[in-house]
Amino acid sequence: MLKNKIKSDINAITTHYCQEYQRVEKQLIGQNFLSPLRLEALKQFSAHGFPNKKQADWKYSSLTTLSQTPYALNISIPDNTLSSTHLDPLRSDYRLVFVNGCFSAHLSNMALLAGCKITNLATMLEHYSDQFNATWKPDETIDENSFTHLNTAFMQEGAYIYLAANTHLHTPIEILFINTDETSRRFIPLRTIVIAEENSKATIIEKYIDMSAENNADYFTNTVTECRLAGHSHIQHYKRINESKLAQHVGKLCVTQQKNSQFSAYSLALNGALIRSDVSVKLLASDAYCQLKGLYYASGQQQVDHCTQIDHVSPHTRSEEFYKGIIDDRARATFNGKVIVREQAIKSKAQQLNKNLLLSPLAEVNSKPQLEIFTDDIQCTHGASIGQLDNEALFYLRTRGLTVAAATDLLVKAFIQDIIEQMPLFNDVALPILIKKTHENF
Amino acid sequence: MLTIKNLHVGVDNKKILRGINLHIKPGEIHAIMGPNGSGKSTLANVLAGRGNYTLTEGKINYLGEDLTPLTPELRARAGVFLAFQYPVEIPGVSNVYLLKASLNAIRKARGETELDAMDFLKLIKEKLKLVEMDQDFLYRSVNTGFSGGEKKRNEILQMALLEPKLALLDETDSGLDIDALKLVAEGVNNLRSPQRAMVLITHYQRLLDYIKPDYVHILAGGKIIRSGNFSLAETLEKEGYSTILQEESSGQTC
Repeated sequence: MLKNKIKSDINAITTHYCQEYQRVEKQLIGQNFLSPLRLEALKQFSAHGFPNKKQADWKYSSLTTLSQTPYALNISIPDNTLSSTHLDPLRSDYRLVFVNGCFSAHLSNMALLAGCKITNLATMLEHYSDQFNATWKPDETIDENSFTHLNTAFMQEGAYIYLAANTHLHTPIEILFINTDETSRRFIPLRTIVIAEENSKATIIEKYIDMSAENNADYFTNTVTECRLAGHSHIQHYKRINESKLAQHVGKLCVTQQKNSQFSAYSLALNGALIRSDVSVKLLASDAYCQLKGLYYASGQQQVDHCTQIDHVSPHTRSEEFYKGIIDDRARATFNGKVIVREQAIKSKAQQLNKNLLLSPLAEVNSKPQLEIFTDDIQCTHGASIGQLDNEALFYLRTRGLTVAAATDLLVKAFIQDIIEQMPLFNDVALPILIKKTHENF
Repeated sequence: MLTIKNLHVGVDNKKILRGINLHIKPGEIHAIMGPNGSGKSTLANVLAGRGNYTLTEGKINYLGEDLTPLTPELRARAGVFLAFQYPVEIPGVSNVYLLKASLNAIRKARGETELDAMDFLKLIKEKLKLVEMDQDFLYRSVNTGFSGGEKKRNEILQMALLEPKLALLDETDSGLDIDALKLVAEGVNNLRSPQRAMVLITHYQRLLDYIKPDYVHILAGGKIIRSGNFSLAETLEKEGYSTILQEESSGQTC
């Protein structure tokens, strides 16, 4: 009975997205050259539907809402009511703003840079398809799954960043994905493509922000970010997820790195009913280095899952991974971190650490560090911990006059301090719990 | 100030305190001595409001009110201070942050204005001198990596800053060398005042050589079996607990 129900859900949901495709097909930008690829991706998606719990990487992720809700694509109605006064002040030369999945030119700021392109994807597809086709190599970068297929089938908006060789950007590229929609069940596929040529340097910040009044709009953000790093290039990638309370956010960051390149991913997962954030890094040439840092906070009934894979393909590659999580109420979190060290990847170093703090007896976390090593002469460490607030410390602070809330606040701050310090642009982060508790105090 | 009547306390169905009676007036210093496992630390912790004890019988009256329903933080705000036997290490929380948060929580409860960073720093620098501690001590994580002596001095520093009405010092002398002991004792003596009562919990008479108590109580088997003045501590040091315990049990059987 249940099996049949699941099967019919898969059929229903794949049929839904196929119908969506047919509905918007003619309006999709770049269809003249992208349609075979989109159709192939749709076919792949239809064949499998969303992943199920039998797949190891999805064992703890509940995709019930996603498999049962017919989220619909919004193709042409940008929200023009938002003005720049609603946004944080501009601190950078480059800002791309997308509202409800559509590019908002009047809120964006794109300084021109010789040889480089920093623009929205639709503009590239429409006006610079040759350059786009010459630089875009998804087969090399993307580690495919159902969600990337779905994303490719509908890809047309997002950011496109091409950094010419030796370009050094001195201010970050800020990409804001804003939701203002209150009601409609929107499907928002976003594709960000970053191509860093030899010896280029840039910082990219992706922010997902819900600005709907009640903060409980129901929508589905599906992101794929591809970063291709040529030799000696440096990319810092920040991602802050602050979606609405009912939003489903499934994102994947795929990175390939050449010789001596450096990639840093900093992730902050805060709000969203479901947050699934995957990272896949391939260290393809010697002396490539990547670091993945992240902090997640899950409360209420939230589900926040991180799944990372770092593939050491070449010798002398290094990776460092450090994620911390705080799980409150009945929320659930997963950390699934895989490090692969291939046969050729001698003298490689990999470090991985995941630490979790449970604030409620009903909170749940599943932490799964995995190492797959196919060679000798390497250094790999990994570790995971799950703990609760130290009752002794809590009592000690209370005997010094602090309320339970204030003491918890202090201990939570102490817990996240080291990870926050390692994410330079997230230094000023205010966790929802800290805001909440502070309000209770005063 | 503090009146304890027939206090019975247990933990996990195990009885620890079996009928404690104690009366403490402002300005007095009471020493509670006793062998290991007699319930000394339990008494201090119960007074500070530690949660895992069950109060089965008796009353604790503090400043005319029942202390038992109050949370640890409310007790602290009402002037109860416990110097821990084992001060807790809290990595990531700086000492100065805790000291300031603590002082302001307590000042607020006393109806005083909260101190800003400048005024606080001025005050804490004075207090640091009392316990002969360096300023960089403020910026280290609470008790993290502190030596035994530093931890205890930190407790005295907190006490000096918070100016409690009732200070409970739980084996503040344990783990201290003689110099550190003198320093801690000096810190405590500086805080003696006609408005402040103190309870010193200790194994040894040595601390009492430096801080002269008004009363000495001997706690054994969860009861105060003998009370007296300073000379009781001297007797104890000479004869040990066993003599007194024997006298006591034979006295009871006669």
